[in-house]
Order: sequence, then C-alpha cells, then structure tokens
Amino acid sequence: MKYNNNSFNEFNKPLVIDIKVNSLDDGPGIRTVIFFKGCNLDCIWCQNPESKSSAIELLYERDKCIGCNSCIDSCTLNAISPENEFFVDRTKCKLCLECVKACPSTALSIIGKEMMINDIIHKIIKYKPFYDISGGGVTLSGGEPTLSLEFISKLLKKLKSEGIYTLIETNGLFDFRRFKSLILPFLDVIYMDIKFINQEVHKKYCGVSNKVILENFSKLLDLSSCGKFTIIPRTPLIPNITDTDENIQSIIQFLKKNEVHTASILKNNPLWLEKCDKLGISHPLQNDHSVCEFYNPDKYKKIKAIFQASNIDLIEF
Amino acid sequence: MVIKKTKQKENHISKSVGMFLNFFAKKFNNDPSLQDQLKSKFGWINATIGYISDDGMVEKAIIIKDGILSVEDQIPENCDFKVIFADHNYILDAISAGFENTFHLIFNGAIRFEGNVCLYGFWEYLGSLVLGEQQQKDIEAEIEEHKKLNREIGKNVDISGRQARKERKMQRLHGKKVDLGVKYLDDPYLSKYSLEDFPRLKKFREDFFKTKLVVSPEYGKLITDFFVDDGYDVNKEGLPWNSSLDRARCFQYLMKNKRPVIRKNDLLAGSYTPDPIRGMVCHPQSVAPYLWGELKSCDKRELFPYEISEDTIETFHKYIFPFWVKKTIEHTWNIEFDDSLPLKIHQRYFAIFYWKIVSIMEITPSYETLLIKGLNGIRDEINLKLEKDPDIDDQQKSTLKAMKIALNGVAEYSHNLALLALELSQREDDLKRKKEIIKMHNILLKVPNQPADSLEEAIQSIIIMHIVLGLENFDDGPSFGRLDQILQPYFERDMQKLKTEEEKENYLHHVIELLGCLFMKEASHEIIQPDFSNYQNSGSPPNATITVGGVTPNGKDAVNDMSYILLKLTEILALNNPNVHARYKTGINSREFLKRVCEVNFITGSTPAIHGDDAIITALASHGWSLEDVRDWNATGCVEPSLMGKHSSATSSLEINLVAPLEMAFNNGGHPRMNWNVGPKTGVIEDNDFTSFEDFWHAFKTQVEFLLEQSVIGNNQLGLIYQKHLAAPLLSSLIEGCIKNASGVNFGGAKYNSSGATMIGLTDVVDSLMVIKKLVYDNKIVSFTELKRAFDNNFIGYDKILALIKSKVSKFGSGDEEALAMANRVTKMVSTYYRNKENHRGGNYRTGWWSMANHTFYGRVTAALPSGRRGGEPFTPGLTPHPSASTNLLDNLLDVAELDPKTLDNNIAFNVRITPSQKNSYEDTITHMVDYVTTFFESGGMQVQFNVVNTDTLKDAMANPEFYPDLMVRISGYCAFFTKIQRDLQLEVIRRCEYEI
Repeated sequence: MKYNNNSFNEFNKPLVIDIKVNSLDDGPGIRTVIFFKGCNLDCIWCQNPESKSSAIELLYERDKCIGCNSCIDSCTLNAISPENEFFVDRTKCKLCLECVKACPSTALSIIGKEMMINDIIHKIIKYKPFYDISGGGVTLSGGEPTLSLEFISKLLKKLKSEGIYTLIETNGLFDFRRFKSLILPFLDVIYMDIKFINQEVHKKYCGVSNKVILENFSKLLDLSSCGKFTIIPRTPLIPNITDTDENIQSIIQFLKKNEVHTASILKNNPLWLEKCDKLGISHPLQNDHSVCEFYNPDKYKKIKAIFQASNIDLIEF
Repeated sequence: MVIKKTKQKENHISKSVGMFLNFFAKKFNNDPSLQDQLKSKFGWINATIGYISDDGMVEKAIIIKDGILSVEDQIPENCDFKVIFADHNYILDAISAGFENTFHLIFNGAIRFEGNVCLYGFWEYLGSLVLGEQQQKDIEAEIEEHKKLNREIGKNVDISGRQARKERKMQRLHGKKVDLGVKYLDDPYLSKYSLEDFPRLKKFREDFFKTKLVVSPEYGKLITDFFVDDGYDVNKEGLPWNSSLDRARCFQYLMKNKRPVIRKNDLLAGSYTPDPIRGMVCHPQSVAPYLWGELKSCDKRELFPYEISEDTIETFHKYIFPFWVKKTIEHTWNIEFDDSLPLKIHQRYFAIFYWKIVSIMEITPSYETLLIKGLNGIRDEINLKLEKDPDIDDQQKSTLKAMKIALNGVAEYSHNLALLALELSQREDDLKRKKEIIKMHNILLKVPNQPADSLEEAIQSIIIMHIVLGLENFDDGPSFGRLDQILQPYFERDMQKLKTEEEKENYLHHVIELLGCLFMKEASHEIIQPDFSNYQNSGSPPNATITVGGVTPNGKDAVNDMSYILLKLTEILALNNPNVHARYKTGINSREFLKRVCEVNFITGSTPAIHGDDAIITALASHGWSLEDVRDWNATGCVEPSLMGKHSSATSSLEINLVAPLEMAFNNGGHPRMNWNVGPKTGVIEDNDFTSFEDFWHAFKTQVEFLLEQSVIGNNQLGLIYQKHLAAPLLSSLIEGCIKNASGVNFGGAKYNSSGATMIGLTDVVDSLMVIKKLVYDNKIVSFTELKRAFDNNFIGYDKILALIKSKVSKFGSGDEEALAMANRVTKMVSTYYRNKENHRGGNYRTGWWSMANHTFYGRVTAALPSGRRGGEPFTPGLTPHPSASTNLLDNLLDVAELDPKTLDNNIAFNVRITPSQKNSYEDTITHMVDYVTTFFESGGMQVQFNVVNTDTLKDAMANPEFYPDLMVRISGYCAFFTKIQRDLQLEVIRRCEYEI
C-alpha cells in the first residue's frame, strides 16, 4: 500500500485515527466513537492536531521509548536522533515506516489506518449488547467525517441495518444536497459545531467563512421537525476566542432566532499539548496560558447560566 | 531431603549458631523463673528443634527436655521441627531480619520448615521471653519504615476522597415497587432511612471501629477442660475415641459452660466470646496454636494487633497449647500420613494451601429447617430414624445419637441465655430496655427449641445456631444462606397482623434494628490467627455470607421485601462481615432491583458482590444436580455457590497457585524459588525439547496435573482426618440427607457432596502462555531460550524483550480472540481434571477462580514470568485481567463473560475498580453501573465485584489512615478495611485498573 504524505486523500476511503470504545461522553449511553482523519477547517485552537491532515503521520511517544536505538539503525535517511527536537526530523522522513517495524515498544507508530467497512463493523458490533442496554450506539467523529460522504454513507447504512443508534459530530461544512441524500437517512443525531456567528471572525480563526455552516444548520433544523433525527448545536468554549461575551450572545441570538431549545457547550482542555510533541509540530497557541489550562469552572458556570436564562437546555459532557 | 554431611572444620556461622543456642540454654537452665515457663499444667513441655543448611555447613539442635535445654551438633532422629536454610549464609540474613523480612526469606525459598510448626512456636515463645525487647524494637522500626514509605505514596494526591465518600450516601435514590415479591415496601430502597435513624446500631458500629480485638481463651479452655477430664484417645470409661460421640459430648459441655452474654442494648442474645463487642475465638485444634510464638508480641504487631491479658497468655502457654500441640489437624496429618508429599508441599507455602487445616465450614446449614421444626422437631426426626430403621449399624447409631447430644447442647446454651435475660430484666431500671429484655427472655424460652412464629423469634433462633455452628466447625466462611427467602414468610406473617400505617412503620424500623443486631453480632468476632495470615488472607474476617435475590426453586423471581431490607443494612452498616452477595437472573429479576444493588455497592464502595444466575445455574446444573436445588444456591465462603441446606460443599478446600506448575514446566519439574525438583521431568527449554507450542503445553499440562493430583491426595487425606477426629454432629443435623442416611457431613451423608478448589493466577498463566506462543513459536521473534534467560534474570538487561512482550502480544481481557481461547483452554484443562476426581465423601471436585489475598502471597514466591511480570510482583486478583490488558472496560467484561461457566463451577472473583466521573450525576453513575452489569450477565458473565474508589483516595488512605478507618475494599471474594491490610495488598489494590464512569 502506498501512502503519499502531501496530497489530499482523494480515494474517499478515510483513514481511521482511533476507535474509542466505552465512551460515555460522546452522546447518550455507552458508545463507540470512530475518529476519522482529515478536516476542512483550520481552527487555531484545534485540540486534535492529529486529525487535521487526512494522510498518515508518524507518531513518537517519549514515555514508551526504551532507548534501544533500533529505529535509528533502521532509518536510511538519518531522520531519527535523540538530538532532534521531536526525535524524528519530519523534514527528512519519507514515511517508509521501517522505524515503526523496528520499534519493539510501539513508541513509534503510524497514526491513520485504512479500514474496510466490514473491519470497522466487526470491531464495534461485539459491543452492541452494551449499546442496546444503555441506549448508546456509535458516534462518527473526526477530524471531519463528512469529508468522505460516500464511505460514511455505506458505513452508516450498515450500522443502521445492524440496528445501531447513530450519531455524527460535524463542523457543518459540507455539501448539503449530498449530505441529505447520502447520510441523513441513516442518522439519529447530529451534533453540529456553531463556533462563531460572525463570518469574518470565523474566517480569522477557522480559515474559512461560516456562511455554508450556518445555512446547513438552519436547513437541517427545518428537516429535523419531521422527527426522524435530532440536531444539536455545539459550541467549544475556547478562552478569549469563542467564549467572549459578544460571541456567546450572538450564538444565543442565532439559536433563539432558529427556535433552538437544546444546545451543548464543550469546555476547553489542554490535553492536546502533548499530542503536538508526539506529532512533531508546534501549535500556534502553545504559549497561550489560558488555552493550555483546564477551563475555568466559574467562567463555565457563568456561561451555562446565560444559556439557561435564554431558555436553552444544555447537554453537558 | 538428603542432607550432605561433609565433615570439615566448623565454620564461623555454625559456631555462631551454636553459641547463640548455648546462650539460650544457659539462660534458661540458670533462671528458675524462665525454667518455670518450660512447664505446663501437664508437666514439662519437651521439644527438639533443629537448624540445618542444605549445603551441610550448619547442623545444630536445641533439645528441651524435662526442664533442661541442651545443644547438640547433630539433629536427633526424633526431631520435632527443622528449620532448613537453603544456604548457610541465609542464617545471617535470618538473624538480622525483622518480621517482614523473615516472611520474605520464606517466600524466596531461603528458609523452609519441616515438622510441627506449633511446637516451633513454643520455642519462639521462649525466645520472646529473652529477646522480647529487641523484637519489640524491630516491630516498631518496621512500622515506622512503612509509615515513612506510605507518607511518600500519599504526597501531592487529591484528598477530596475523605469527604466525597461520605457524600455518596446523602443522595439516596427512591425505588419503585415493581417486584412481585415486594408486598409491603412502597419505596423498596428505603431511602428515607439512614444510620442516624438507628442510634443503637450507630453506637454498635462506632464501637466496632474503635474497639481493639480482645483474645478470649474461653472456647479453647472449655474444650481442653472437657478432654482433660474425659480423656482423649481413650475416654475415662475406657472406650476408644469415637469421633461423632466424643465431639458431640465435648460440644455439649462447651454449650453448658460457655458464659451466656447479652450485650448492653442488644436486641439479640448470645455472643461468640465473653466479650460481645470485639472477641477473638481460639480454635486450638486448627489455627490458634500457630500464635504460640507470638503470644508476647501479638498485641504490638503492625497488622491486626490483639489485646491479650497476661492471664490469657498463661492459659494458652501452660494449658491449652501444650494439650493440643500434637493434636492439631496439621500435626495429625503428619503423624497419620507418614511422609506425605502433599504435606511437604503445604509446608513450603508455594503451590497448595490445604484449607482443611483451618476449617471445613464453607457449608450452608438449613436454617429453614431450624425455623420450621425447631431443635425439638429435628430431634424427633432423629429418634424416628433410630427407632424405625432396623438396618442402621452401630456407627450410624452413634452418628445420630451424636446429633441429638449436640442439639441438646444448643438447647442448654439458649436456656442459659434465657435465665440471664430474666436476671438482667430484674436488675434493669430503664423501662423500655426492661421490656426488651423480658421479650428476649420469652423468645429464648421458645426458640430455638420450638419452631419460630415471628420474625424476631426467627432471627434469634438463627443467630444462636449460627454462633454455635461456627464454634463447632472452626468458623471459616459460615453462611447464613438466602436470608431473604428464609425470613420473608415471617415478615409477611407479622405484617399481616398490623393494622395502621404507623404500626407498620414502627415494625419496619424494629426489623431493621433486629437485623442490624444480627449483622453486628457476626461482625463482633474474629478467629485468632498468626501474623502469617496477614500475608495470606490479610484483613479477612470469618466471612459469613448472606445472599439476596435470584430465583426461587421453581424459577420465579425471588426478590422480596427482605431482599431490600437486607440491602439497606448492607448500605448503612457497610461492614466486611457479613459478606453480602446479590444474585441477578436476567429476564426475571427487575432492573429496579439491580439498580438498588448497584447503588448499595456504590455507596459502600465494595459490597455486595453481584452474581449472574444464568452462568452459575448452568455451571451447577452441569453436575447433574436437580434444577430446583441448583436454583436455591447461595454464596458461601468468599463467593462459592453451595446448595442451601443440602450440600456438603467445603468450597475452599484447596488454594492452588496455578503459576507454580508453569514455573515447573520452565524448569523441568523444578520450582525456581523453592529450589526443589518436586514435579515430573517434562523437558528442558535450553535443550530445545519443545519444538512446538503444543510440546510446551503438554509439559505444562503434565505439571498442572501432577500438582492437582497432590491436591486431591492431600485433601482426601485431610478428609479422612476429619472423619476420624472431627465429625460435625450439629452441622450434620441441619444438612439434608445426613439424618436420612445416618451419616455426617464429613462422611458423605449430605444429599450433595463436592469439594471446592480455587486456582490462583489464571491471567498471569494465560498472558505468559500467549507470549510464548506468539513471540517464540508463531512469529519467531525470540527463541524460547532467550526468553527464558530474560525472565530468569528478572528482565534486567532485557529491555527489548520486555518491550516486545508488552507491545506485541495481546493479553486476556483485551478482546483478543486467541487470548480468550487460551484462557478457556486453561480453565477447561483444570476443570476437566477435577470433575473426574473423587473426594473422601464420594463427591467430585469443583474449580473456582478467586484468590482471597493469595494473589499477592503467591506472587511473592514466584519469579519473573514471560508475561513481563517481575519476580515477587502480585498476580492479578481472582481471574481479573491484567491492568494493562485494555484501556477499555467493555473488553474486560466481554472476555470474562465468554469463559465457559462449566469450567468455573466454584465461581470466580472478577474485580472492577470504577470511579464516578465528575461530569455525571449520582443517578447517571448508578445507571451506567446497571448497564455494564446487565450486559455482562446477558453476555454470560458469572460474577463481578466493583470497588468504587479512586487511586488518589487509596494513596491518601495509606499515608493518612486516620481519615479512613472504615474505607472498605473488595480484595478477591472478601472485603477488608483498606488501612488495616498488609502493604503488598494495598499496593495491589492501587495497581488495579481504574475506570471512570
């Protein structure tokens, strides 16, 4: 199998970052979450840096490394040295993956795995008794799962035929017509991010305008009135970026205008910091203290109160 | 053991030992007050103790004979006890070792013993008279050292657990009346009650935690009195020993002379010892004499220190122990089965512990029979058998007569209690209390002689019988049985008589108090144990089990009002004894019931244990036992299923280290730490004797079967000793079949007969076999020789192999199908062997997978393993997967659920440690627990036990035990108070995987 590090993954079979079993935080009940690689936004605070690129990446975990030098011996390009900032010099590395094979402790590993639909189903179907009893199911997340609508469509169809309750977490930037025809029929719940209302600000922090996102949200909301699926807006609280009074107020106005009564907010967490080190990248906000800490509980309470005061129920995770 | 005797110039170590012993001899021979300690009520205590090293460099004996100590250079033939050092240099280590390090020398095979351990205790006792002060300093230094280490562990941890535990019980859920059997409780969860509503119980519980255990010689003294007067081998009428009759007469004497006690403010009469708050019972024929050497230090020891008076010490040292020291079960085994290999294995503590040297109590009596018939009714039944059955022989006649004598004894004891109640009532000024005692007096005039009519009579009758059965049978794992099923008819009968809501409310309050008194009475006692037990089953109480829920014999939902009332007591008292178990039958028991079980487990942190009826019934029914009887199973001992009232089940007869045969397979039959070629020769890894995994499997299987054979031989030998010396007439009278067959529980009289074994270390074995299979044979990454070199060297210098083991091989509990298949292969191998073996009662053997605390104890005697486990580290508890098997609880649950229940027919202990997520509400957390448990059982799971406590709280508790006197954790089958248990075990509980839910 050949991987190309630089080109976009065109052949519509997205790479899977991880399949997280026994999640109690990504929707109701006991759930399995499938994280797909690749995203069409470029949020400055992105907490899953490994999910941005849709190609495979090399991961190095210092705490697993036993210092046996097997990888150094295996590398023909001299890309690996303890002297390197991130151990592996990614500018030299051509992802031949010989080092991954040589590593006895899995300190070096590949992130992003191509999986057949049947492989995914096989892996998650055995937990079905837990989904059924707890009212849980499967959540598709990312990155942005809608980047590969055809693949996701087949996967969701299969999940539905197995009687599994499905949920998708999306940033909302997709082709509505294709979304509606390919995957909406197989979805029970949609969590869609509403990060900003102001288009310019969205573009500044996320790289693209949110025009399509907000339109998609409103359209889905209209369709959801038929009762076949539920859509819930979700706002990540990033200190001084999305959690400003102005932004929160405008989000609430937007939700009220659309007669939304249930929403969700997500607290910032700093766990992404170590992921950057493992991937060998610098994060734009790694020196921003407030983003590198757990979310301030008082601030959280305050924002919660603002939502509740506007009669919007919050689903908390 | 052949000792090399090389004549050579005496070395300095040998000289030192000689000087040391001579110093002692001189001291005793020249000091009349010390010499006096050599004399018992029966004359001089004689003993010969030898010290010897395998390398022949040291050989000395101290001979204590007729009040004189002398030292010899050669150990005489009739030596009572030998301390054998694997190498003479270990003698220096032993001399400088404190208590803990001495145990470690034993676990490392540096020291081993042969002979009468209790008599060696006598010698140690003499030592403590001379070296007491130094020993005291050693203990104190050890305690200080541990405190220091513990403080380090508790540094910088989150201490919110101190408060959070208390808050759990403030949020109690309301229940709905949905179970058909619940007739009277509108809120079956009884959420309005807390311990505060029962001042009497609150006080009893406080007393329990603040009172030190007091050693009582009463039981030991009385049975010694009896045999001193009556004669042991031949009685004073010249009749030879008759196990049934002599035991019964001794028991009757005990009952007649045992001091009747009614605890202040107690609603139930009777006690185990004269001290009704925290009494230690002494069983001189089983474990008590092992305390001999520690009599002077047990009040100061680190773990479970006892309060013991000088008088008591003297009674033990001069009277009880000298009488019994050559009549203990272990010594009798030595005498009657000359050169028994099983006994030798037992005395090395590395592979098999034969629990019969302690007790056979894991048998559930029929309290239903007691309540329905009373002692009188049972006696009538025996008389009928004696009169109407012409075919019974003399032995059968004695068996039946013995039962009658024992029952008469119980009647005498309850009569004495009745008299005491009368006397106390006359002296009582408080009118309310006076009324209670008069009521107690009237009840005692009726039960247990007659059938019980009310719930209060039923509970009083049961508790008396429960206490005295414990005394008769050494009281390890005595079961109350399915108390909800037994008591519900009496509860309903009482309730039907009540008219107003207020009357019913008051009655309910009274019922909770009564059962609370029953719980506290069980908790009020412990069995005297030597410090060694603090390693093997640290913090384990006598473990009286109570089982609730499940199905009735005809398969209907058995949950009733009493099930919930018993769960309420489990919640508010949160004790480790009684040990409470809940049965859950999928599709029949309600989710509402399971939710309450989970809530109680959540509040108490560790109890009840939860059992899957489907799996257990499948396992038991596979023996061909009647389905009605199988459905009436209850947990006994730790977790083991026993058919209530009709089953001589002795479920914890054998505690077996399953890793030992694996190590023996690595070493051609030799055990590395014991340095003992005990097993058959099955091949040498370094000689490439194993060309395929199947070759090695065959070697492993051969070693396992060798060890299991020794377990069966030894257990059956001990079974014969019980038949000859320890008939259990009272217990027999309450087990279906024994009267009908005129044959006791130890003789095969019961309707069902089996013996139970438990295998320790399944996960460590399976994970090791997987490493061998994958790395050596399937993927050929390392050679077997290289792998063996790595684990023989404790992986020091073999980081790469260790890393490969950890990263490339899936473990049991990870969801890997091959690892699961390997686990099933191992359980099937063991269970198939046992099912086909017959015990001394004509039953077969059942296989369990729970470990008490043996997973740390056996871990200590075990070198490094292919699984990556380092030498001396604990195994996983029960059959719990290794903490690193999966980060995902569901894989653990599903793998354990998929083990074939028929190979787990003596049950399992599957530990799961969970902590509530801050994000979830109280009810959400409990809902998640219910979802996990339901799915686990629907997938075929047999048993699961949750510890709800996070790592930081446990670390804080180690460092600051004063904040956590009642922090209870489930070890493996039993529960213990965390701050009281041995350190290895504390660290093992901390090591367990923690899942946030």
